[in-house]
Amino acid sequence: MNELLNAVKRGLLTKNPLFVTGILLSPAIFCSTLKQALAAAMVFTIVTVGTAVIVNVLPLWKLVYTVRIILYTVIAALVYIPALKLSLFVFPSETAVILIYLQCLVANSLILERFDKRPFTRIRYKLIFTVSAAIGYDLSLLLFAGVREIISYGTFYGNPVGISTPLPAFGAVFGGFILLAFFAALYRQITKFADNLKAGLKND
Amino acid sequence: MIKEIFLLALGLIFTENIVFSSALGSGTLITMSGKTGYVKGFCLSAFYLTVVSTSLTFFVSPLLSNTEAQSIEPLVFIGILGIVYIVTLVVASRLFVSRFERLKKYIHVSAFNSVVLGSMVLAEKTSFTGYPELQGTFWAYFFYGVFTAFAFILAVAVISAVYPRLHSEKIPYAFRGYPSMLLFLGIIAMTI
Repeated sequence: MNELLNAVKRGLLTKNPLFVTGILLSPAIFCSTLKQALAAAMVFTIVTVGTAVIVNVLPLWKLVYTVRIILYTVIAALVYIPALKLSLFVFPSETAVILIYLQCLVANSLILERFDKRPFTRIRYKLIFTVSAAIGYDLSLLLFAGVREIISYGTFYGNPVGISTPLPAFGAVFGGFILLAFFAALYRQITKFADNLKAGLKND
Repeated sequence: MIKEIFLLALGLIFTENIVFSSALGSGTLITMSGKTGYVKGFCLSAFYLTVVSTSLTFFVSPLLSNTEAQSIEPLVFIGILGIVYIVTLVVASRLFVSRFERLKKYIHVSAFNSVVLGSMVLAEKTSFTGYPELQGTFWAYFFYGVFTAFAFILAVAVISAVYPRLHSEKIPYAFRGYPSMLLFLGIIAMTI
């Protein structure tokens, strides 16, 4: 049970792929609106979780690393086909803008490295870790893109929010890097505060 | 043709640097820049794989030109990359018998990431309209791979140079390491 909780906690919080480890940066840096982030999160979740589930069912871990890693990416590229079609159906214009980043998701580190190397004793814990990390990434991506859209364009999901002086520079790539730096720092400060609070309660 | 190659180099290394202008490979960059004993081998291996894979994209480019094929593009690119990866490992195991174990690690880490895949995707999407002599030739893809890989190595070199300072105890805890690397990348991207 402890290992299960550990897998969920690591995936969602302590090893958050966007705010802590930064292994999946490029879509987050590029998506400057909530709709783009939703399209990216949709494709990412389907590709990552779909691949992890298939890998979990097939006994691929018995194969040598070279063959295994190629099969992971081939499975991800196959799962990507319906994921892209769905994304094009729901968010056609946004998907077209971020297409390059969506294509690169088939070789994302969460599938290739984190899933393969997590030190969990059971394969299903690796799956739970991957699903938790995917959810953690989606939530942080949507939060980041939502705030970024408000700051950059004065809109939320395309609707004006009444900001008279938006800062469009934060919608650019460099603005994404800078804003994400502040998000990552804030996240670190909050987790430190929470850890201190927890330690204080234990001592009492 | 030399003039066009020079202009392509300037564009891809500086103004359209894969990391600073499109953020592709930024996650790989942040992960690798701290591994001092690893970074040179990784960069050389990534350079080789990017150049070979992007060059080979030229041969499948006509098949991917219509919009119907966009959903199978990653599968085609992964196919090319998988073949290059296996052939490289087989050739390296024959040519560098004593150093193969060490080489293998670099090849494994650098094969499937957003730099190599991103270079293939971007080369396929680029029309090379500003380069009439290169347009539609194998050399356009070859040099695209060379300069994109070089641009990534330049970005790794820049980040590796300041890595110890960005992890210094003098930086406040909240910004130490990853957040300050993002800030640094943002400032460099802004100047470009």
